[in-house]
Amino acid sequence: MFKITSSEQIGKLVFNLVGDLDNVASTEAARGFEPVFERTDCDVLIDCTELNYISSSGLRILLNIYKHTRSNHHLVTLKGLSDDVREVFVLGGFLQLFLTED
Amino acid sequence: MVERCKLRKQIKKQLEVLNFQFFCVSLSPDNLCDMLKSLSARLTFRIMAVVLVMMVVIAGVVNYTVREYMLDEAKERYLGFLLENRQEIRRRLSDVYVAAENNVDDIERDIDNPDRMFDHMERIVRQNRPIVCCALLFKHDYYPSKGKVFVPCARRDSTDRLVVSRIDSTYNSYFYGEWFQNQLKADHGCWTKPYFESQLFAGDEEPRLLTTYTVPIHDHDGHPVALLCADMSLEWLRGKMVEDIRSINNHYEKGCRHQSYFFIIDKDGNYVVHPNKELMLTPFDEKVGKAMSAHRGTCKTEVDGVKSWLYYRSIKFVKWTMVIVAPEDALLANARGLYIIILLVMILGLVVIYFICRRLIKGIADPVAMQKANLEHELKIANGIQMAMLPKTLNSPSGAVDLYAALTPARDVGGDLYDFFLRDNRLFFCIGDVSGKGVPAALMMAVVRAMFRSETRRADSAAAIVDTMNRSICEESTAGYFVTMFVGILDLTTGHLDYCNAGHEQPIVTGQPLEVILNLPVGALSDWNYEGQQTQLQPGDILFLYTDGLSEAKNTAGELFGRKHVKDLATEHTTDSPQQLVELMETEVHRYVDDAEQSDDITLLAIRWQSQGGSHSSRLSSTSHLSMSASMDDIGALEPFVTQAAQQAGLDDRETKRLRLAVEEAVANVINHGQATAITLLASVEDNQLVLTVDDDGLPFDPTADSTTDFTVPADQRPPGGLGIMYLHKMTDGLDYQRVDGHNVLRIIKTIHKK
Repeated sequence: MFKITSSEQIGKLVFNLVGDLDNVASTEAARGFEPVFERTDCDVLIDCTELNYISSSGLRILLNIYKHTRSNHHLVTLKGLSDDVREVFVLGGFLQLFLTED
Repeated sequence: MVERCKLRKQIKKQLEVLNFQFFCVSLSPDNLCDMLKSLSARLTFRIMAVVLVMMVVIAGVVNYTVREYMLDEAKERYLGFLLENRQEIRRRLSDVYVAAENNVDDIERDIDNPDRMFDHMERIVRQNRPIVCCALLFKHDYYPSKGKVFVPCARRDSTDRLVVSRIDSTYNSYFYGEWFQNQLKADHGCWTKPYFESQLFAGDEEPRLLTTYTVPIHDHDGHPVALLCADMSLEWLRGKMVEDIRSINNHYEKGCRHQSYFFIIDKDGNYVVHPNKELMLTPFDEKVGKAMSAHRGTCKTEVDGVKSWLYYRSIKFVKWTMVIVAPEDALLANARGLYIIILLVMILGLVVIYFICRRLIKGIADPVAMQKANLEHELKIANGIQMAMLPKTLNSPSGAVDLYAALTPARDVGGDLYDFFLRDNRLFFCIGDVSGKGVPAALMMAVVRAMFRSETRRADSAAAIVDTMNRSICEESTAGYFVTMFVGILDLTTGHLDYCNAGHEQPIVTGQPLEVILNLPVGALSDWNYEGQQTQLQPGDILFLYTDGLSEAKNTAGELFGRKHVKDLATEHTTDSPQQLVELMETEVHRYVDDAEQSDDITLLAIRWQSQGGSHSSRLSSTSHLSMSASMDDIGALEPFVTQAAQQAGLDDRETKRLRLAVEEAVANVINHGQATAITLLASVEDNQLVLTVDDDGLPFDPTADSTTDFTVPADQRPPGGLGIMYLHKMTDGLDYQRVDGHNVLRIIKTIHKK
């Protein structure tokens, strides 16, 4: 099961991901991240503390978020990556794109 | 139902082709052969006739040209010869004539002194070699002191001695007759007709042929009183001519029956010179004489019954005509030799052309035979492709079954078939033999195999499969072909074998013949009710199936290999692997057949069932299998399946997630790029490995091939794609890809680490 919630802090869009971001969940995730693409003036924080699993389809969505945000000179931060999920990011060459915090 | 109709139509179409081929092949009996034979014979005949006519024309032209050339050459040669001899004769004649004329004045000065005449005669003969005799014939009673007749004379005798004498007595009244008077009256000298000299002079010698130049001698008053006679021998001329002609004969006319010869005639038509002495001074053939109209030239006439060419030239001064008679045979002797050589070469060429024609025409004029050969060739290729498409080994994910098959085709395209594949952890297999051989059998085999594949998709029992196939073939086929078949369905989990034997050879299970009901072959009778049978295999049992190509293989003595032999071999080698058993049978039958020609296809199929024992596999059993459509809608079923299989195999949470990622990427790849319709997943444990097999019917794609993308480059700076495949590699302990029977089969291997 996958769940995505979003909120806005000052100058920053915050997303909270719960569950497995796999092919099944990718459609829902893409819809949940739509606010990012409507904005050009803020950073993005994605809270992955409760993200259990991610596949390449999920990574592609995050790559698009990164590209959009970077083109507006803002930052994307990933928070609380688990070891398993972090490994997937590392192997794919994705981790170096994002700021991370625990 | 709609699909079934479609299949029927397809089969019907194939069978129509089959029937047509059968018709074509049966249409080539003797009458067709005769037709072709006569066609090729007619063509050959026509070509040869044209070539023959051409050769006759060429031969004619060559003959004419060579003949004309030879005649021209002969004409040149003989006219040259005549010219040369004419010069010689004229030279000699003029020597005599000049000598005589020059002495006339001397003699006339001494005319009053008869005794001086002897001196003159002596001098003339001595100084002029060509003159053999010189005499002065005085009128009767010119010198009263010398008597009535006075003929002073000087001559060379046979020993070349000069003799001066009076030869009064030899000159009879004839010489002093009319001829003498006429010569005296003439105011110039002239040549007499040639004549043989008097026997008195010749003595014992043969009389010589002579001609005489006569000049009148006048007294001081200018009255003619005597004739100066200078004799010239013509013997030299005869001798020279005979020799010259002989050399020509030897050179150009060797071995001819009639050879050229040469003669001279005088103005009255008598032979003056002739190689045959007896003919001298006899008249010449008048008819031939008339043919020579001009004073020189060439004419063709018949001389003594021999067709000959005459070359002639007159000598003005003496009014002689030199003639060369050249028989045509002799002239064309060389031409004939040349002509015969040309003719022989032509005949040889004709023979060569004939054989070439026959060969070429045989090749060309047999279009039907050639088409048939082509068709067979193409079908053989098609058959080869068909063979190549037959599965060779089974990639059993669970290792529950080991299988090996081999088909050795006979020289002609044949009709053996076998097939097997896995579905729902069950092994479907069949072996069959289409009656007859050749093109129809090969086509039939393709049809039957296609039917087997399609029928097994819906039918669940062997008898039902055979039943449906039988009805389809009976309805559609009128060719009367039938197929002996054995169809089996082996449950890999339980070892339960459901089978149906349609008139096929009895299979052998671990050395014991499998009990079979005697059903009719497929395609024999449409309403035959096929009865299936069941048996339970024990773990390790080996099932051996074969076609009659094996049991009925003949050695050079014509003896059969035999079922007993097959059974004995199978009994002796029950522990062999399927491959070993099949190869053993092949070796044995080849050794048995030896040099004899393999008359039928030999198809062998061996299947060993292993119990799916062991602690890991027992935990997997029925839940180890997942069928899904190749759509993202179904992908949700993946996670529970993989997770369950991984947990049952004892993988920890981290490895489970890693496996899940690998499988998800593999399946997503098939769905997104493979154009597949169905995906089957199978999980099994082999030793300490969990193997997840992803089987799809999509485009061929080998994910184990090396990727060129460098994933150490940040994701935004490299080309898209390949990410899923990268995870497939990184998250697993082994990958194995095979393209089997139109399916991609990817084995994803995960090592199980014991806790």
